[in-house]
Amino acid sequence: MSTEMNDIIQRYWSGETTQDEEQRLQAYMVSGQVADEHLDMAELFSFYADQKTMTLPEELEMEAIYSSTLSPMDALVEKYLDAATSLDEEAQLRAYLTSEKVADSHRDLIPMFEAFSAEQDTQFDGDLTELERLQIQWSQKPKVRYMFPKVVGVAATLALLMMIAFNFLQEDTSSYKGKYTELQDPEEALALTKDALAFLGKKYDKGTASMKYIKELEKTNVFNFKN
Amino acid sequence: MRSLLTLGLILLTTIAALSQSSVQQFFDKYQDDESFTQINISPKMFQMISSMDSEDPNNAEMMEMIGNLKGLKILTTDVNSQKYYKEFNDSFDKSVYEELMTVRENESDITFLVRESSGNIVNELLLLVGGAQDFVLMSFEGRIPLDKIGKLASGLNISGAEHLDKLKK
Repeated sequence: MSTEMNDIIQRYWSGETTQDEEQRLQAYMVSGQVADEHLDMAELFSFYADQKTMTLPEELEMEAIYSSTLSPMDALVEKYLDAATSLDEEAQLRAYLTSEKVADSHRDLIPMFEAFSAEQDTQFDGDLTELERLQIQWSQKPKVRYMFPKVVGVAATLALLMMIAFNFLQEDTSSYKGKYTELQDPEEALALTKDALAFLGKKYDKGTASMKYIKELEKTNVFNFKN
Repeated sequence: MRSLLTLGLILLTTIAALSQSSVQQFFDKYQDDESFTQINISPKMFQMISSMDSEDPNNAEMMEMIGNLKGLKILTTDVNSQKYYKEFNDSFDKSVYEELMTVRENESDITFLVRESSGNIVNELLLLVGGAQDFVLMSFEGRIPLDKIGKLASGLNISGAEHLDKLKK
């Protein structure tokens, strides 16, 4: 038995043992009849054995552990924060949190719930403030908002062009009517002077023509003009 | 001291205003009246005109006349023309201005007045028109030979006077 075990142990360290052999080795080590020379190894094996029996609990088992050790409301809160609660459960939770008997550990949840339920109670009653109406209007007309600067730019350019054009036109068909004008442009002054002199000449001609006529009459002594 | 200075200033301005010719006063009176159109071409502007190289061979007499001008003032209105014609005739200083002639043409009274004439040359010629529709007062200043005025109209093409039309538009 001992020699056989020695052989197995030797191969175990070399990593050549089969599962059967390992089980046999294990059984041997945990049995009471371990040879003195194998006692060191027995401790190691008992540690291994412990490790083996310790299995990691499943998720659901964890939940079970929580719910068993904590209050049912703790479990519900946990579930709520995981967003896994049903509507019924949420109603239950709300009822609990708005009640007087809230556990201290849940007190910091109350403001959040209050805010949520306040939001829930808000209803659109068609009575918007002016600002809200404007906001909705803007959000519904993204194109207009996008085009606005362009439109303004185009309008400003047009206005500028029109002002320039208007100035030019006014320069061309400038009128002196109804105001006092001191001419500043020699060309314009010359043109106007020519016109004025022509006007003067015409009137003067008329005058001298009739004067000549009168002088002719004077010569005939029809009238006794004394100039 | 200050009041004395102020008094002196007031006196000076009054004298200046009084010494202004009666015709100039008439121009000044209606300078800001919106029913009147007034145009002034200053002596400086005439200097610029004569320095301009604008020889018009077809119109040498006109250019010569303009070269001798020192100022042109035009005052016109189409409101109460008869009234203003009468007002001017009553107000101008008869010791300074001498009536050259008065013509009646198409229900318009036309008066020519001259100032400081020496022979055929006058220093200022006033043309006054008082019609049913228009009142026109023109003052030509400078050295104006009367015998050349009659040739001015013939030297100008008929289409002229477009600039004068702007007075009424």
